[in-house]
Amino acid sequence: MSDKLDQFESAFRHTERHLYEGSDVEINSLLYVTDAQGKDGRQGMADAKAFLSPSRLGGKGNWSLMDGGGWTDIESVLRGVEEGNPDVVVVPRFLKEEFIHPTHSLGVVLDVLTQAQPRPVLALPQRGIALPQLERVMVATDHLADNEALVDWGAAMAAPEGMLLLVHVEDDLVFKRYKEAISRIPDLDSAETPVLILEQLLHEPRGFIKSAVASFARTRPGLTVQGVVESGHDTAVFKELAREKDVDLLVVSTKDDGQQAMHGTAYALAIEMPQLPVMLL
Amino acid sequence: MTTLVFGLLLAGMVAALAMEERIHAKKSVIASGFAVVALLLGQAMGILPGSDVVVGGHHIHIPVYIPPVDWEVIAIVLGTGIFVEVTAKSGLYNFIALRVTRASRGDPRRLLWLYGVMTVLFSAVLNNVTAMVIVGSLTVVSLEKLQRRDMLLGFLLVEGLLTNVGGLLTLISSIPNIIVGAAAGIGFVPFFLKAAPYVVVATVVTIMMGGRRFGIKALAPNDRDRAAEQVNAFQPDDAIVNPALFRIGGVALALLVLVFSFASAIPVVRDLGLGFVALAFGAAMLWAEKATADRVYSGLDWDLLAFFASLFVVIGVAEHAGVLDALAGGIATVLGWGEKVGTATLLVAGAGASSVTDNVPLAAVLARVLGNQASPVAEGSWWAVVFGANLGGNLTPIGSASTLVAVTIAHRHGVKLGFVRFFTLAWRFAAVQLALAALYLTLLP
Repeated sequence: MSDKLDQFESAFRHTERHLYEGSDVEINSLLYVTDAQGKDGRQGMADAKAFLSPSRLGGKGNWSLMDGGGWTDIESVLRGVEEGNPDVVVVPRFLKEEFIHPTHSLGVVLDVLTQAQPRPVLALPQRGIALPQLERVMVATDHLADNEALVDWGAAMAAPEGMLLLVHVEDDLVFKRYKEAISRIPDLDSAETPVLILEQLLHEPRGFIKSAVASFARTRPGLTVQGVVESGHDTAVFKELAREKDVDLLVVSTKDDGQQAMHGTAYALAIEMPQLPVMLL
Repeated sequence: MTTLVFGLLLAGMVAALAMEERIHAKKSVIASGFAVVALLLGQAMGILPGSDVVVGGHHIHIPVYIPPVDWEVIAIVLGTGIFVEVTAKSGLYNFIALRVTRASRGDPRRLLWLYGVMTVLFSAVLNNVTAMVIVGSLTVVSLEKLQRRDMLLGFLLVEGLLTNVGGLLTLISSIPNIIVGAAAGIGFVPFFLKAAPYVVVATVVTIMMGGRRFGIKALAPNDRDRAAEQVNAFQPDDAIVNPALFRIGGVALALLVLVFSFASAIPVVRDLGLGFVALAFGAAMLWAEKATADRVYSGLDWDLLAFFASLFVVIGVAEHAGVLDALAGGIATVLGWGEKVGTATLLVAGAGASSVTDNVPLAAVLARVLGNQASPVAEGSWWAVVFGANLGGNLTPIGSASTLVAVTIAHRHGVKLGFVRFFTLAWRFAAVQLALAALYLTLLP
């Protein structure tokens, strides 16, 4: 009897969809951190403003500048961020690290800002690299149905007539471990169980995306919303899609309660696509 | 002496079935054990009749344990079992249940009414246990979604009690109905027309009592939108496992009810009987699942079928030993008290017996006894057996398989619902249902 009850409870839970409800992202203040000084620093902030201007948040919020004269080391940057208490920190990569090879890290300042303070960070390409015209925003995650805020931010960053691409990738390396474990449990069908688990894992984000598309069709009729749900090597799929869809901004999570989720992928993506602006939440 | 021995054997089987859970044995195992002993004793004592029949001048040997089995009942149970198993796999019932959930807009009081009515209708079309499994499982999931787990006990109890009310609605809704209907020659439509008014009244009264007893109230206006959003998260379309089978299942279900209703008016089908109808529909649905029919077979309740066959054998031997004649004498005395008093007494006695043991042997014995009366018994007596056997299950958690399912679901989700607590909560409902039944039966023309 327990089997039968479990079977029906599962069947009903399967039909329960995490629906995207959507809420507005409010940004009242932004802090632009740079190592440039004077005119160059102000120009950098103006470029960042211009980059965000097509977004739904464009023109909103008070901008403040922490230029190269305002900080000397990472502690003073963090102190400045705490004192300014902005809603978003905007920062180019490789501050005061002119000699670092750009494929090896984000730069110390940006790296610490994503880890040591809770505010979202908009990572811009290294100074001197032109910013793209913000039109296509890609939200990339392995937990889309549980991450409504990520979609809220993606939508907030997208232009009213732009495109929002919601991407969920189940990492096949992680799944391979589960498949191996399943193959060693006699009570589970080694062929059928992984297929059913993967179907269920992909079913949830698909349903969530469907509800998000319906929600934006009502609230943001000009916005084109597309979804991609698949399994594969997450970083590789995200990179491929970003290139294929000519994405102008990537939105990713860098932390969960345990400070672990997505950090590895976000880090890898940000490093491997140094010319792409990335919103790190 | 022979009658006493087999009377004790029959009583022993009934007692063992009542303690099924305690002795950790399936019904079929208990009944088949008693059937083996009854056959051995019956043969040794020389009470079993010869088992050769002559067909077209040929002597055919039929084993002595074959004729007592009511194959019409077995055919109905097997055929409808296959039919329900296949249609359930299509997601048809889950789809309906989720539609009903969304229609409630998340309001607990409306949900109780809708789930209550759905329980009755599912019990009428499916079997009580399947109905309780579907509605009970969905109750757990939807109350979790609505963050109203505190109402789980009230919902499960009301639903459990209503499975036995819904089990009265049609001839195929429960096993006692099938057995008594076959013995009394009551057709599908006459059965429905007689039972439906009572089922409607008992359903309404039970839900109203449940809502009041467990404090299940309507939502305040401010909470309504949120609750509606929560239940809208359920997507009925996602319950459809196989769209083609889903459509076939829906049409076949409607056809099944239609053919059952008019079987007595359809030439050829009329002669083949309801058992044939059930088997034919079961076979037709199996065709839709022809490649995986073995999975359908594995989902059938073979314990129940083996139990029936064994039970009929025990009762058959007891009949040859004169046990049923002795019981008939007692029943005749009760019926002699007058149509109304006799009927009401039979109802209450049947319910009392059904509350502590399986209602199938009770219905099988009483149907055989009533059928063997010297003069035809009043129709009310047959109905008293049907109502008593079904409603008696609401007095205790062991009285019916479906209330036991309700208790099992409650336990799985941390709600303690032992024998005493169940009885304390349920007896008022059962008493009201029985009082309504007694009143209804005495008013029957």
